[in-house]
Amino acid sequence: MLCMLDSKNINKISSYIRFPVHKYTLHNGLRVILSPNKNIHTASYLMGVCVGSRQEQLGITGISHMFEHLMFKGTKKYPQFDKTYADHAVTEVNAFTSYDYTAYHASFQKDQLELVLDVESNRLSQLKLTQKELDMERSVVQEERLMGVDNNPSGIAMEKLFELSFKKHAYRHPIIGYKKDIANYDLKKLNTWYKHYYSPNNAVLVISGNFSVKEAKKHINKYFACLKSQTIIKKSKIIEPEQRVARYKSITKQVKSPFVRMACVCPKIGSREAYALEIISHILSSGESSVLYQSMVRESKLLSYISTGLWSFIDYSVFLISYPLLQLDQEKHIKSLMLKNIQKGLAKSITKYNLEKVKNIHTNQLLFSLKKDTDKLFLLSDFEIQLGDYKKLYEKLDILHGLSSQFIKQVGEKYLQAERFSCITVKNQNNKAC
Amino acid sequence: MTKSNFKNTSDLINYQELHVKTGLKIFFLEDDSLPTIQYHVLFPNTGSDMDPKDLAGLAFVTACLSEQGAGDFNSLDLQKELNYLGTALDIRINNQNSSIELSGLSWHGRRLWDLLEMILTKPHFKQKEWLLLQKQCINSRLQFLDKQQAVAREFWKSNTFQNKCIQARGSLKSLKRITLQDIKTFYKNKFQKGNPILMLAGKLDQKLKSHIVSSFESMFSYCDQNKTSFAIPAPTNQLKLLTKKDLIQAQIYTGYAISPILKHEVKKWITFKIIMEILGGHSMTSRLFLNLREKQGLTYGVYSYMSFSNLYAYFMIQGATKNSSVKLFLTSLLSLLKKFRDKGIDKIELQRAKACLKSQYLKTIETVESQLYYYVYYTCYFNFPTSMPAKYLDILNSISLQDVNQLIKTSIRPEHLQSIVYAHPCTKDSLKQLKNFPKLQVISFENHFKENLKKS
Repeated sequence: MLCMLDSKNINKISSYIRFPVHKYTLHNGLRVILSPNKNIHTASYLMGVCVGSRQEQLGITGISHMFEHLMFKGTKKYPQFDKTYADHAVTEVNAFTSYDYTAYHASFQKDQLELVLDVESNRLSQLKLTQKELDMERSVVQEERLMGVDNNPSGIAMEKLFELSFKKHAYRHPIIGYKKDIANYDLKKLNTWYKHYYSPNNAVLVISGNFSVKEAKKHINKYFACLKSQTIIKKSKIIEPEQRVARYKSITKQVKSPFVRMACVCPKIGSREAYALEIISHILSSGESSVLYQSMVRESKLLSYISTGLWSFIDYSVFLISYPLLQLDQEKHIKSLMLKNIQKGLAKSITKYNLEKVKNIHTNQLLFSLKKDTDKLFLLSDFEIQLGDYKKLYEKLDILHGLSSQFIKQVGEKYLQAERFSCITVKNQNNKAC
Repeated sequence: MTKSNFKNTSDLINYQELHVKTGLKIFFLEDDSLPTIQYHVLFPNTGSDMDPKDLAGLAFVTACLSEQGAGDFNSLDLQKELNYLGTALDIRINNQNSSIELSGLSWHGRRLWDLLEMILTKPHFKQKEWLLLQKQCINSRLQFLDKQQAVAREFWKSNTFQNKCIQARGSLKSLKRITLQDIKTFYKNKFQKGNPILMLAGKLDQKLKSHIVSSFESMFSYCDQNKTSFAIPAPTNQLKLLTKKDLIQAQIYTGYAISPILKHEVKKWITFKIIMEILGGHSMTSRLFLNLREKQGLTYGVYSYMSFSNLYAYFMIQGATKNSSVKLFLTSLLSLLKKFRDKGIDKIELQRAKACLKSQYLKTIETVESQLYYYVYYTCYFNFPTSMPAKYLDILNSISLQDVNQLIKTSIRPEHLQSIVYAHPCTKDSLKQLKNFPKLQVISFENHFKENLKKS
């Protein structure tokens, strides 16, 4: 008999997820999360600033990402902080920008904790930008856009898909920004962005690994408590109108393997509906025994693979479907059959067996993500920034596993309807199958 | 004493090695901190270098097909079993080795092992499954051909190694050529006689360990293997332009073949790592990053690598830039390499590189899974002494500035670069002006790959 997640094991898992975490907030609003672990040899930090492409609009798309690049240009005290870090064995120095936030992170040895906190507090408050640095970094971002989007069929497809799916919300804009906007950034706009969003009351500092909590609190107080909070521009949420008609766009590119990307806008991260859709995604396409793999790959032989997934953000989630399209003349038929099989799957496959399978998948994923310190760091920051509280990490498995099959079906039937999907097809110029 | 308070680096690695009766090895690394388990089976010398001529991808498809039905389970039932446990096989192939990994929750440990044993010893290899896998591999290949960086890399390797050992997952032609009989023969001659190494990491109980040892003993026996050799291609100074009309950005790969690392050359290998870190590692202070990105804004990323196997090795630099900047990129790169070779590095750069490599090493051994893999990989892949992983930091510390600069002088050879640019045809005129490369060869993507798939 296959093992199931019985209540004894579920309780065990709960104790593993609740690893030691200390959270507090400075008087200036900086949220601090400390997760010590003496069993490893290094520590990591992440400074998350609650600004991403979600706050942008046409004219300044990609500005959060551009700013992420400029944060590496140094301050008066640390004009070449990358070399400072390199000289003190602070490694894996990097950053990323998402729709919802921008994060700066690195790994270090515990005796460099004070240096790291000094540099990061300096970057958060004392950055000085010059035109020369902006111009040079703009070239780099333009190259990055070429690599990730303009010269990359998959990148173009995702950019167009989000444009098609969101008519009003800022999630329609690419994180890297449009070419025209990248070309037009100026110091005034960037300094305004810095002033409005780079503030302790709009940031979260996470430190994990081998470090002293006492020392961390002391240094955080020394370097961050003196920073002044700013009034953060809080834009009211843009409500994306409900999609009632299917949307479609075809992109012509010289590709050997035409493909399709589909998206459906769904409720936000942390909502019960989003968790239900996460479960549905696994049932539909996790593993070769999944509903869509069996129906679309094995039975109908129309596809060689299919994948689904849920990308969740602060305001909305996006249910994604991807598959290659080797038989171009069957494009409509494949899409129609796939949507039918999704509905069939919702009707017949939200079973106890499949829900147990998904429990095992989630548990595996979560436990393996707790193995590496940096993965833990990102988990803590994601939950704190996107959901408002890192403790929601502890609740995730309980919420997921507590949803009834009826509720899951209802959510699936509501959101995964043909008319709610936007679809991008990328195919080659002559419309011929390869 | 906590793990982090290590006094000797030998305290960092703490595995158990067992030689079973059949002559094969099992490595255990226990860790109770999380209820997970991982089985990793490494088949040394069963990678794509072993693919017969014209059957590129055979090692890969053989490994993949083994999970499409085994023992008492047909393909669907086997997948159901694995997927229900929340897991799937992870199959990896490089030029030298194949490996199969299965991980999951520790209370599923026995079940996972039984499934893995079946897959490794009783695969069905059915024609129906092969036809589906073939179709999937062909589609993957087509997707590969749409990825500019991947194509450029493959083109560079095929030019540097004169068409040998390139397509680990097969080309369109070879995938269509492979038959089920080829797969069965490869499985029998290579995987069954592949002297696999088993690595177990995670929460292991004594009963399960004993069961695994006794079943592994009956699964495989030790077999003597023929050693293959490989002639290192002579250095060239060649530039080839692979063109495709819709490319807005150029991918540039340059480098050359070098001698493989021998088992007694641990210090040399680590010295090479230092050199690569300084020249084009992933830090923001590497020479390539500072010059080509920070100073000139020519690229988003440019990196240098040395890749070693026991048969051959290579040095490579890779970057991307817009079509109009290709000439400047290459000129700057050549000038930088010459300066690097002629003037070497300084003390500060050496210190930084050592700190970075130390940090990377400590991160590598952070989890039991990666610790075990790292240990087995380097002792079995390069045949390094078994004491090496524990002595890595000591050896790293012992490397002097003189050691590094001496190796730079003998190993960095800008005159011998085999270079390729994969870009729009418009770059041809600017590349022809480059004095460093006597002859520019221009090939179109369609002519080179000639992999037109007929409708099946």
